[in-house]
Formats: sequence, structure tokens, C-alpha cells
Amino acid sequence: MIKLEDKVSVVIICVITFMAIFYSFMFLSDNFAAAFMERSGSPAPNETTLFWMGSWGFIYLSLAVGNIISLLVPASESRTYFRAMTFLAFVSFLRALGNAIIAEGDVFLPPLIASFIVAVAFSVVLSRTKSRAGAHFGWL
Amino acid sequence: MFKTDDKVVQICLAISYAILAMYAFINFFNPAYIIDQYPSLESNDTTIFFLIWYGMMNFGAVAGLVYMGYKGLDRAYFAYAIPLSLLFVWWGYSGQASLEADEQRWAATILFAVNFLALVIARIRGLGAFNFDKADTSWGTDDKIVKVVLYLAIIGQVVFIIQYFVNPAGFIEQTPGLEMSDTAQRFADGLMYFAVAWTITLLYQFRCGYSMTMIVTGLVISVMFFAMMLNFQASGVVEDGGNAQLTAVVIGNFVGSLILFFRLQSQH
Repeated sequence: MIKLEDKVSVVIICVITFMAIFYSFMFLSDNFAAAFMERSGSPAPNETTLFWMGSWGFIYLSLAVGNIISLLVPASESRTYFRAMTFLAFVSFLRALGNAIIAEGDVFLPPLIASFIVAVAFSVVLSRTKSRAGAHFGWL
Repeated sequence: MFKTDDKVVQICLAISYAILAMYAFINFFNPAYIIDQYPSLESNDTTIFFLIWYGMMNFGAVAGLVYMGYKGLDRAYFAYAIPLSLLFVWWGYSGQASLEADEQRWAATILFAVNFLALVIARIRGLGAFNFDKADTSWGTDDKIVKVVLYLAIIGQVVFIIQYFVNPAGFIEQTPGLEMSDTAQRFADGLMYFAVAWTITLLYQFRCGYSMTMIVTGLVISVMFFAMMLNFQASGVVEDGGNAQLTAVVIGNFVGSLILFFRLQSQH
């Protein structure tokens, strides 16, 4: 059933997929989203914030489905997807890093750590499935 | 689609898919809509808890239909879905019939009945006579770990049913945060119906061989439940440590489903 050839990549994508499902549920439920905002030290979300967090929840859910589909086909059919996801994860990490640098007071680390792990993990998938395009460092 | 050219089968399963997916999405993503439509439903966390639960179960059934769409019709899926849809026709009918006339809403009951008929027609036309061909070995596999997990699954479902008949209110009483009411008890009755349907399909698989369709169905349900449980824990809304048995079952289902899926998926 799983057609992705590399077992390490399968494990990585399964873990990332579960993270995406976890975050999607968190953002899709108003109660969970409000609790997340509280934990992150942000002000209590209003209706508009909850609406946009819900939209992010659906995006996370769609990415989880995209990951599952990438497991069900050979790597050769998912190369563009892996490249796009690696770039997306890297940009998300940079943004989380920037937010952490400019934050005043205590920094809420889980999003920064999670985005770093996902960026590195997708980079590993990219290498192991031979999906890299052009020149690269080659050690990741 | 469904590895059959029979348009009636395809249309019936498309109807079933549409009904299940609609209730999955509404229950899970917008339970407030259902509560608005049914005057008999109290707008509280207990009702939302059960509606989301039902939504996740529906997503599992939808996943099973999608899987069959690619891989072909599967008797074990119908052994699960037909009894379950019949039980929910009864559940919907008895619930609405017990209400005052101005509080009755029959949309869900009618759709449950349509779903039941669509599944029965698809089963009979697509797979022919009901039979119980015995597999070479119990569960149709020599993998001992898979067998142990499947035995545990069937024991778990039977224990849940026995617990229900010993104390129907037990689930609500043991789950901090849930409030007892007629509506809540009816939702808890529905959980027992799910356990009955799972028991039937597991018994079928015990004799006729495991079903990858049902393993995928169970995997989707258990992953959603596990992610939801983690969110409940992370958000701090769980009172008094929560329902320890429910927590253990959710974790057990998650681990068991992963074991079944990853040990068997390469053969499908």
C-alpha cells in the first residue's frame, strides 16, 4: 500500500503528518486555539483571530492529506511536492526564528522547535528520495 | 471505481459516501450547526463532545469507502456498515419518536435509512450472496502479533458492550466534564452501537480473514482520537485527570492500529 521506497522517509512523513493533524485540530477548535494562544503568552483571541486560526487548521489538514498521498505513490511522483514542502517548512522556521528573536520577555519555544524539526526532516526526505534539484550542500 | 462496472453499486456507495461525509464534516467541524437544528439538543460541552466523537467515527467510515473505491468491495466493511447503519436508523427513529411533535426533526433518520438501503443494495449487487467462507487460519494470517492485536480488539469491544449493559450511565459518570441528561445518555447508547458493529466485523474477520479496509478505517479513527486526546490534554480542559479507561483505550487503539497497518500494508 505504501509505495514510497525509502523507509526512513516513510517514518519521517508519518511523524510530520501526525504533527500536522495535531495542529490542525488545535486550530480548528476554538477552545483548543484559545488555550494555545494562552500558552504562547498572546492576548486572548477574538472572533477574527479564531476565524483565521481555523483557516490555518484546514491548511494543516490539507498538508496532512498531501503527506499521506505522498506515502501512497513512488518518490518520483512526489518530487515537486517534497521540494515545495521543504521550502515551506524552511520559510516557516525562519519566521518562527524571527519572531523568537524580536519577542519581548519569555519566548514560547514549541513552534520554533517544531518548525525547525519539520524543516530538517523534509530536507532529509528530499535528499533520501533524490528529489533535490540543482546544487546543494549534500550533507543534509 | 470499486473495481466494478455496476453503476448501481457505484451510485449507492456514492450516496452512502455523501451522507457519511456530510455528517462527518458537520459533526466534527461545526457541531453548533447540528445543535441549532435540533431543539432537543442542549448546547453544552457534553453534546459537542459526542457530536465530535460521532464525526470522527464517520470519517473512519468515509476512509473505508475511499479505500474500497481504489481496492474493490470488501465484505468485512459491509459487515460493519450495514448493522451500524441499521442500528442508527433505530437510534434516530426512537429518539425522535420520544419527543414532542414540535421538537421532532426527521432529516437525520431519513438519511440514515437511505444510507442503510444504499449499503444493502451495493452489498447484494456487488458481492452476491451472504457467505462466511472460512480462511485457512484464524484472521487469515500467520502473523502472531497481528493476531494478538486483533484478539485484544475484539475483547475490548466485548468488554465495552458488557460494561454498557451493566451500567449504561457508566461512561458519562466516569468521564469528568460530561453532564448526564436524556440526550447525553442517548449519545452514550450510540457508542455501544459502534462497539456492536465493530464486534460483528471483527468476528467476521476472525473467520474469513482480516480486512485491510477495516484496518484503514480503524487507523483513521484511532489517529483522529489520539490527536484529539492530546489536544484535550494540552489545552488543560481535562478535569480530574479525565477518564483513565478512555485514555488507555485511545492510546491502545492508536498503537494497535499502527501495528496492524504497518505489518500488513506491504501485502496490499
